[in-house]
Amino acid sequence: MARVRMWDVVWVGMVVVVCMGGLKLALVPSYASTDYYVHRAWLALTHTTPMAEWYTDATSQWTLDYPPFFAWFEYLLSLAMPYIEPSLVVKIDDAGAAELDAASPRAKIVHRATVMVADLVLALGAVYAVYGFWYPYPPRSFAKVETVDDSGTAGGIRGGGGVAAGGSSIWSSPQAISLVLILGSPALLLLDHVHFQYNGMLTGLLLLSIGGVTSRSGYALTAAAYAALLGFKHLYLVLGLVYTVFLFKAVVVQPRASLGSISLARFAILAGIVVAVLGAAFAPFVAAGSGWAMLERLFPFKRGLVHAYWAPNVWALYCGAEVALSSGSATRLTSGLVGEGAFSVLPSISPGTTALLTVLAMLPSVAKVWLTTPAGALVAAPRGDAARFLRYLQRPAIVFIHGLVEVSLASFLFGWHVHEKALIVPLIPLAVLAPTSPRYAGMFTFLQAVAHVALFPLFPPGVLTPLKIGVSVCYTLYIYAMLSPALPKLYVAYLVGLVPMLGFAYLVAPLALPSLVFLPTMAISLYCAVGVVMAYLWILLY
Amino acid sequence: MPTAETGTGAWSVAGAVLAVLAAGVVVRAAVSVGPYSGWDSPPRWGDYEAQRHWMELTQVLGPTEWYRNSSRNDLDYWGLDYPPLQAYHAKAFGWLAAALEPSMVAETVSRGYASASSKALMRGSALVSDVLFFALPALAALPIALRLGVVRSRAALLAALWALWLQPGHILIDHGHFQYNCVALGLVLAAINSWCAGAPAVAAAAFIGAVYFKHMALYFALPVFFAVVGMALAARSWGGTFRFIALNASVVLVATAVVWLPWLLPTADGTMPWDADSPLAAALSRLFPWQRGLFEDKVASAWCVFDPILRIKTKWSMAGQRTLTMGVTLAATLPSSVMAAMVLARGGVAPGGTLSPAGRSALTLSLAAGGLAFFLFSYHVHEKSILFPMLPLSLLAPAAPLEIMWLSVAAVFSMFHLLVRDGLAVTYLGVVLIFCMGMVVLTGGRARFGLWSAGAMAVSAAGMVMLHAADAFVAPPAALPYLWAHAFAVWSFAHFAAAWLVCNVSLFGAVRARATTHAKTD
Repeated sequence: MARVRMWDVVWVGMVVVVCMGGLKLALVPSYASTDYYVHRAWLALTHTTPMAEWYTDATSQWTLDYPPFFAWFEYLLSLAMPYIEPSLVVKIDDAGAAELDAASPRAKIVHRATVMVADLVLALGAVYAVYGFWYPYPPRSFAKVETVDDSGTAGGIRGGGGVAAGGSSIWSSPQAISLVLILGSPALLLLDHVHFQYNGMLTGLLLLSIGGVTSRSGYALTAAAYAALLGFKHLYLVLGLVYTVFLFKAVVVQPRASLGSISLARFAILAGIVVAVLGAAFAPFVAAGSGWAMLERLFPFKRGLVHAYWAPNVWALYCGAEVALSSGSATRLTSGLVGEGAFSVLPSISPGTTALLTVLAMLPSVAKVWLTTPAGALVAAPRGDAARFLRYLQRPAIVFIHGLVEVSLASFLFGWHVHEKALIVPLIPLAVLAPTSPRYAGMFTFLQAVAHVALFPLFPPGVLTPLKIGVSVCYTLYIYAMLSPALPKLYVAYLVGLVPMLGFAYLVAPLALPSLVFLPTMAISLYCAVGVVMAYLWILLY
Repeated sequence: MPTAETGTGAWSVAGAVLAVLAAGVVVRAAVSVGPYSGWDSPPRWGDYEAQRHWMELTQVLGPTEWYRNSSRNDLDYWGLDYPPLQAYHAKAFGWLAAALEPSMVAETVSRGYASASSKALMRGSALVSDVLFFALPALAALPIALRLGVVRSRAALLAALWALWLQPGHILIDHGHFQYNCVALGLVLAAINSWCAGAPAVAAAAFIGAVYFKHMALYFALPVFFAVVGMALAARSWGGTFRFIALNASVVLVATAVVWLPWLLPTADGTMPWDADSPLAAALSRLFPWQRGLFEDKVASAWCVFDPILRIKTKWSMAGQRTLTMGVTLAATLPSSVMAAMVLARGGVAPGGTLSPAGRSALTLSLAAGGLAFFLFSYHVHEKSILFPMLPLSLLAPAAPLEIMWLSVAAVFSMFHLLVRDGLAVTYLGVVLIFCMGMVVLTGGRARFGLWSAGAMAVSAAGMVMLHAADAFVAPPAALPYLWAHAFAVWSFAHFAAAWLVCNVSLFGAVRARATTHAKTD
């Protein structure tokens, strides 16, 4: 039985990267969001200011609020700028930045090109994780894959439904499907290449750390990549409990042993890696005396419970209830900032409450990871044998990724000041699981639809409308062409309901009730909040 | 449990076709986010403003005033120079604009009007037109090709659709630069479909519709005329031939009467259509601008490419230039048209009235050769007109996917400087990458090149890359500021001339094959 070779997976990745690269290039002239100027400001800040002042400087209103590795990343990019596009590292306020950009169209091309280059980390991480996850699979007969357990692994793939020729094509393999789902993600395309962020690179690091789980001695990479990821964006801290519990059970505890028997050496290796990487990130700034300033920037609890556009979580529903109960008089809720005194009917929510609820919501998931991860799984995996591979590496990997999806959804639902963009944290790892069974395919189909619609309000209606709808529809069509997702009736009904809801938000509300300017985004936010809760419950109870 | 055999089953083919269609919409949507011809460049802006201006014009004036200079219609400011269907199309979307954003089509004061919502409306109108008028005929072409046996595998089917729907030049000009070529191209495609499927009356209506939308479709007039004659002769009886010709003639006459009705009636002051100052005369003189010169800008036509040697534009009289171009164009078009007519007359039409595979191939090759000949040799050609010959050429993709991919790249390469002026250079790179990658993947890496093709393609690609590099990094000598633009035109010309030659040689081979089989059977 021939296996899908590394080269096949790389080829698929390359094709998707080139095609998506084409779209990214076409989108270079699209509008520049606030985040475009945020990153532009950081580029200039790290270039012109000594490192000790990075977290105290406030020349631009877009102060640095990402952890140090991201700042160093901007610094690295800024080193090339004097040779390519000097205007990008001129430190000025935002009006000045817009003027500079108008004067030099090249600035936008160069700045957007840095995102495209950084996306190579995503390609690397995706190829590594997907190849490892599906390592022993042959290219043929996916429709009839014999699985070692009865969970129906790879049962989600449509027999021979490849986009290209022939049913046995590499394009209908689970590796290719996962890769297309990750590298072709509309969420990443819209967020990074229209809105402007570097989520692709960060997601690539996350995938690298996930990929480490499926190779015998990859756990060191898992720990290192995750620690590095925390050094880039502390949002990923919410995954920490699952990482800790999983690595402890699968690496530190001795194989087939009771909990009393642990390997201190492997514990020391893991702890050493995490301490070393995080130390490299944070120690220099603490030593330079800007530690507290950094902490204040990283955790801005003054920002309010929800964002101007309510990210679709429990607090959006809470705010919706407040608006309904106060019969629309809760103007502070709909005008942007939701700080103290915004609630008149319902009790106010403090950051502490959200933190407590978040941790509580995570506990079942963390417990599930602890209970279902076989002790020492990652160090006990035998060589060679495909069937054993599935039992010792793929199954723990499924538990691990499933756990990551659950806790990131939990923190999304209950977290303080959550952004809708954070939905890519559960979404992309779930793409690795999507081809494993019709149920996972169904979960992915559902979550991606909710996530993409939830992102729509980020992009103003107009010339971007056909694009944002087009990529989402195209992506969903691809899933249905390649996989056979199984969704409960209620979930199908919800998805069908998205269409009239969007019709209401974009056509009926602006024409019939133009005075209620917040109504369209509120409708989307509330409907999607219900969707995220549904997705969370489904995945939690699976 | 489905097996590998379902790979050619109806559902998965439909799914893949749907995915290609959606991919084409996504690429168009992405391109349409970018700038357009004349964006932010007063006082005349560009083609986008021309189209917007026609929406305005058709809202405020009656049809007979559209082509006439007047106090309310300044022909020097993007005067209408396309036939009535284009104007009706503008009127339909202008009506929508008047309902949604009236200031966008307000008389005179809306010149150069730009807003985010009006851009969305304009871009949306191009997207809707493309889906309605082009995607539908492109889809219809697939079952027809399957039935004729032109396409035998799913890979070939998807390659055919990809070549039509993801054609980079078409996407960049209609959704980047801004025009509605999709409507005329789609009508030509519908005409070809109808001939193949044995519905000549529909074909005649669609083709004349294309001409009355954008008269560049006249590039195909001679090949179409001869093809129709060939199909008529295939009837093998004088009565049948006569009926076929009469049917086509009456469809054209009726269609003409319907489209041109406002211009064919006497005006209120008694001017008859044949009078020199009639609205009809004004319209026709707008459509055929014989005073605009042999060529404009740098274009890959013979007259521009060889201008440094021949100097016809400066040394010949206007009348001489017209006679010369007409003569050369006819000479370059007639052989392929006559050969196609011969193939069609002798076994090109199947008993049910549908075309045989040989007949379809002859028709397509003749349209391609004729279109290329007009592009290469006719008077005052625009670089965008290469889109017309590229349409029948894309239909050859199932047989020669990589060659058609290569030629499609050459076509969009020939328009590069136009796209640079529009600020679409990066978009150009993106669209070409997607087109080529998709074509390679969809053909499953199965399409093979001959050694000659592979060598020629390598040389061609190296030339394009080098010219792009020179254009980007090397300043041309002060005495020859248009050196690179001219080199682009020369290099593109070589490709189009070679394609013209290949089409003629293939037709010649088809004629000879027909002759020998008929000699044997007679």
